[in-house]
Amino acid sequence: MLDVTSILDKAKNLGLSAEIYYVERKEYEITREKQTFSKSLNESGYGLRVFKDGRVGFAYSTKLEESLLQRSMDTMKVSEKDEANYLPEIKPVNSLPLFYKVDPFEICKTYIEELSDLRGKINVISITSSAYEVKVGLENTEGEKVEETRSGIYAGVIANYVDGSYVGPEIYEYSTFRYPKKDLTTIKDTIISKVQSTAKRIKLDFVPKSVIFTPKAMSELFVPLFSRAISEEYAYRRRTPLRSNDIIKEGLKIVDDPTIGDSIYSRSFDGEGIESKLNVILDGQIKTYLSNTYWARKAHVENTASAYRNYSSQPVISPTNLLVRYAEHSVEENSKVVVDSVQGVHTSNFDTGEFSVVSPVAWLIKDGKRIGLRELTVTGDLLQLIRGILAISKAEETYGNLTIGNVEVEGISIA
Amino acid sequence: MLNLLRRAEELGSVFADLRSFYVDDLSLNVSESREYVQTNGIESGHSLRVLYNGNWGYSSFVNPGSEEVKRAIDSAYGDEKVNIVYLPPKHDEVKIRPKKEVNKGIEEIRDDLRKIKEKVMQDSRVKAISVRYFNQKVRKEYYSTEDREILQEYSLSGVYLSAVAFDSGVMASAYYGVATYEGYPLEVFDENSMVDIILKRINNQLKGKVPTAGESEVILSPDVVGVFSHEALGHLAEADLAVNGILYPLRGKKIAPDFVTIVDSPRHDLPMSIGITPYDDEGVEGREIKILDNGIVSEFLVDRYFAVFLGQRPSGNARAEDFRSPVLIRMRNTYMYPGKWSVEEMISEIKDGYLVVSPLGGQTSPDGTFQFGIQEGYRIEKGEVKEPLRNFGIAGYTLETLGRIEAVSKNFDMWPGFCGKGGQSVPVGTGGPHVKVKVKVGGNA
Repeated sequence: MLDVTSILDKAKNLGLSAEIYYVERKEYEITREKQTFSKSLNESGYGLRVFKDGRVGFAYSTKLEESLLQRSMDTMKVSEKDEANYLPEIKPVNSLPLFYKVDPFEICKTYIEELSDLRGKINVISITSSAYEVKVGLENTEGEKVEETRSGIYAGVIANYVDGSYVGPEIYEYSTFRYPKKDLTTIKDTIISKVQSTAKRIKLDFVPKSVIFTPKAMSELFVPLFSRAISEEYAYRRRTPLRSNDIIKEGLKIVDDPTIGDSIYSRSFDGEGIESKLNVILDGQIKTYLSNTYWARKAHVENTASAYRNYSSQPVISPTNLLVRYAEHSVEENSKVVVDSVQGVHTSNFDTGEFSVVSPVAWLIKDGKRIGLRELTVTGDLLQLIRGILAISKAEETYGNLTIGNVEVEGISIA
Repeated sequence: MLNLLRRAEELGSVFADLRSFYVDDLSLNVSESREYVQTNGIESGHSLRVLYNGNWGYSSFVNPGSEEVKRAIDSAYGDEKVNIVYLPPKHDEVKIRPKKEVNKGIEEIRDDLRKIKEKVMQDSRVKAISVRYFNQKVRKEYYSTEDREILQEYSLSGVYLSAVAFDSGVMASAYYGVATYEGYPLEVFDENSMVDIILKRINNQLKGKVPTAGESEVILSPDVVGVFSHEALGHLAEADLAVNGILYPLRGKKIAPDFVTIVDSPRHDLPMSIGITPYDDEGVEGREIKILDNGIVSEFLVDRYFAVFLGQRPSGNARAEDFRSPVLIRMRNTYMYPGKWSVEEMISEIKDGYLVVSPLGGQTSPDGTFQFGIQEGYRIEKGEVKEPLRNFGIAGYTLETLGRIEAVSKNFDMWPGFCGKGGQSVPVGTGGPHVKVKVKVGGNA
């Protein structure tokens, strides 16, 4: 019978070094909108990398087939000879507890019902909950192997304010976690208060000296730009605005921690089977760019074990859980513009870090009350966004893979 | 496969359909520092959908087996209110053939990409470049309990360039891409023109200045008008979003001048109209939808469910990225019809404004706000195109912007794109003429 080991044996007999990254995923999801639908996925996939004489080949398939080996060997022809192309060495890893057994149908149903309480209180557009378990493993021609099962849960809601012909912006609140939560009160309270803040919106009639980005806004704006900018690939290729020798921001510390228990972004090993470790990315200045095996060897730097992949592609570089802290914590909100959401970040220039985005959800704090703002454009670049930080509040929130407080920034154009 | 549908009926489903996807996928990347195959493989899977007790149930899988029917039925959940359009039996095959068969080996493709890389890097300011080729050979099969059997085959390829340059301490980057169903992209499109465009954009970015933020008169190019038609209006017309958005209450009302018509169409003849969708992923024949017909809000994009809900004929807008994903209402080729003006005439009427040529993409919200990043643009002064601008954005309210359109040009073009929604990405075409309008330009306050 054809299995991972037999394909690797064939590769070895042909004088190749090789690895197979395999995934078995089970996922259940319910989306309740005007039309409710569910998703039940049972998927497997295999990605085979072969190495010989500094060349690499790759092929994938949703089924383990003989043709996988030939197909990956065929692509070695277009790989330039490069000493950075070599088989990653896999060592035994300390397994993190990343699996928690739940009944996916029951857990999704529970969260859908709980978030459905919001109907009647606000205009609910969509409610989604999903639960998955995924077995991920890597095996190579050296007989080395790592494998683990990870699980995760998602619950989220989209709502807006509607009154006659007035339609407010979509507001999206969500949470991802591994261990089932007793209730989703925080999500519900947060979305109600944000929807209410958009009931009436005014145009901003002054140029603010500083702006406050909420953790949610930072997860939407900062994370995509920063994640790309701290990749060793883009540092090596000079496609990042963050230079290693520059003092970027005294007092600012950013770490990537793949080991946080309740985060669905955590893993015991990266996409190449290398054991996860905490990386200090920035402490005043860049301490390390994140790398995988290829780019670490290419740039002659330490491998930070930051390879990320699915079975259908070669490994790229990505952070897991980003934690951002700053020495100054005093964020005074009164009379300040608060940006809670941005749209259009994918239209930014990721090489230069320049962005010009719209904030559909923003408000002005006047005497402790929120006054909704409309049609706000936020223009700047990643370096300005980091260097302009005045304070980050101690009270933190986690959105996606970012944990951070409210961030007050100067030097960003708000119009 | 048909036995899975029969089994679904036996177990009490009033309707079931099955989608099979087979994709042969290749992506090759040549950069200043690396040449390699990014992805290369075969994805084969199926998605069974059942309508059971008024609820949808799904099962997506790689290996077919009768247990998948039970899994689909067990997954059904909802308010027991799903009601859909049923269609008559139909058997059809649509094979979209390239104008010229592609017989390029992987090394020949790599060599072609290398040539482009070398041409761009002749400009010594360019320090980094990525030239990416992709090809997807897709075979889709659709079966339903209505006795509909639809087979579709096509091959989609593209070449995308991005480059970074430095000059006197200034860093700039630019992007250009083409994609088509008509064959090997470097035979369908002129390679030298691609190189010229990316170098022009790099040069503009190095020299350009960020505009002053505020409202301004602009001429939007076909590329930008396409993204506007797609992002700012098209998404608002997707029935699942429309029912909570600003466009639905305006059905039958006039929101733009007579000379503004925007459509979503399953087919267009220009080579970059990659949203071609003869049948959608619910087995429905595609038809052109006039979202805005001579300025009047006319029709919405629907799937089988929203066709009933809105009382519209099915439009063929239900699409899924792959076998894993449920069908969602998606656009295909979305564009504005051309008008009567010449571009020169339109530019000559602007005293102080901008020519907005190339977007980096865009986004919209159901409240009608839109935002586009712009990588190529110029200042216009007293009817003349002046110096280039550095990266900036334009934004506004869709309804306000549509109502402000003053002129629409005779010329027309289409561009390829990939549209994201609900975590899924599908190929789309976007296009239109040049348009004169007032929008908000993002820049220095």
